[in-house]
Amino acid sequence: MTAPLLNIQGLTIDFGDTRAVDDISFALHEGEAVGIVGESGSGKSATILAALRLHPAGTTITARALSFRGQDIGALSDSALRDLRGGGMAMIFQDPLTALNPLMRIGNQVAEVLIRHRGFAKRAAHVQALRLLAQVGIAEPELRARQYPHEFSGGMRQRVMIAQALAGDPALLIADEPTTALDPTVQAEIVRVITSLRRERGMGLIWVTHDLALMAGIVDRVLVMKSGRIVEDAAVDDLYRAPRHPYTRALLTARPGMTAP
Amino acid sequence: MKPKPGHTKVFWFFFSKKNKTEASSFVPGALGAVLFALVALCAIAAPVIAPYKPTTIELRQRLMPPAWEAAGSSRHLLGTDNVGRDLFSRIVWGARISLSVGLAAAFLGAVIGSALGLCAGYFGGAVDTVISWLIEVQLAFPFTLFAIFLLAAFGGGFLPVVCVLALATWVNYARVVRGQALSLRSQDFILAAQSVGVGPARLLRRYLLPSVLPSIVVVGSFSAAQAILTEAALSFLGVGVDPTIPSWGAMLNLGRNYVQSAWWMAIFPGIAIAMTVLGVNLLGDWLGARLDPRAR
Repeated sequence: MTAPLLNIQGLTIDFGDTRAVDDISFALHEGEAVGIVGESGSGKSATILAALRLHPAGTTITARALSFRGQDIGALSDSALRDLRGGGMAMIFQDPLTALNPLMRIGNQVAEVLIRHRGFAKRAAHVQALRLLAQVGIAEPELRARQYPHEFSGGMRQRVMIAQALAGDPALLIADEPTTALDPTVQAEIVRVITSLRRERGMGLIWVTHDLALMAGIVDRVLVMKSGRIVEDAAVDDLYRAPRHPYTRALLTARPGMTAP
Repeated sequence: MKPKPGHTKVFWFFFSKKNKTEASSFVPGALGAVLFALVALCAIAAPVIAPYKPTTIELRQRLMPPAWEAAGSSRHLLGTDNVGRDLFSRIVWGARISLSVGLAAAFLGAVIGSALGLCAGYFGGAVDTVISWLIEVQLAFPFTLFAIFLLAAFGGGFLPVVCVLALATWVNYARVVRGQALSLRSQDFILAAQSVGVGPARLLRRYLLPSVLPSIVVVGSFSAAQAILTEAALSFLGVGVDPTIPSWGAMLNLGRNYVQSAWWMAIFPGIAIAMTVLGVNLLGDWLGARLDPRAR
């Protein structure tokens, strides 16, 4: 069997004296979609930032294994790490209002990833960026590519973030609560865009959220995190049918208008 | 005499609303632009505007008061100095020195200070420690004294004066830019750029620099004003650009000896310095508010 796409074994993360993540292990295979669910402060975001080595200064990370396609992420050189970020794994952030460079044209922000990771020349990168913007459902990409982020709505900016993340043709897409900051109708649109593009490209996906009900139809498997530990790791259907951990049951019932089966 | 950032803001607080809407900052901005344009025009078109050569000596016309005084003559609008040189012509020519030295020093300081400030704020750690230490050393020095020492030891001239003044202004930029880079570093869009593999060189150039540019312009305006003032002070003290070229500071120094008998010799260069500094400051404040697309 080939090495998993992302392999995390015995990952522990400390912010100073506070333990954010406590000895967690999971592996994700090529093309697999995994959801990480938990309340705020359960260590979800810390885990995925550690996978990209984007953790803030003052964080201590220890792991028995932290590898991407068998490559030890901790041992990568700075330039190899930059190849991995965007080229191997790309990330979509929670708040699209703050995650784009406010002073750079939208087209350039997508194009720079194409130039960096796919070796496009400047002109070709812009043409390809328009194609990507159209793929994520942005109408009139020629016009929109010349605009700045403040001329875009939240949902539109999140589409740009997706286009930017896909530009490097990553094998794994990490989405950190990509719909939390958006209106419910826009949320559904973004979910649709991400899931369909993922199937098209056979990308792996990690979807981080605190909304367990959202996971059905997006991911194959769900990890439930609580206080820095993984308390349940189950296929998404099993989880809905028979949640084993009391915390999972609590999460399922916590949503207004939903009851545990 | 170090202008503090935004001191003109305090000044205009009494005239305009606290929030800088376009309307409230337009009047001082326009005033600044007009003042600056006047000085720039004098500097560029000095040979056309000035009725006399700044060095033409007419001893029979010496110490003539301005034209509107009883003893004045319409031939010399602002009067003449102690050897009969036309004061108006000298002030027009003096704009060249003041403006070119001020702008060159502010620009050179901006390049050095912004680069160091960005690196200190973005990289942190040892880089930050060293640069912050340099900033503190620079601030601890009584600068004018240091400048006099350097210029006296190594000689004056345009380039040395500009370099010495850049040495005075770079800290202004470095401090402001470092602080902003420090807070920008942890923002989502920087993290997002890192997450798609944007390298540090590009991050500094395309992400951080544009974000701090409005501040650099504002700091640049008061740094230019500071450089103009310091250049005047250095010329006043006789270690300026070149004693044969008319400079406002040198004229002020000459006028000092005649304050009792010929007030115009000191007053008009003084007004020229004050108006230029005010104009540059107002223009910079207005530009700083305009340059930020998020504020529009």
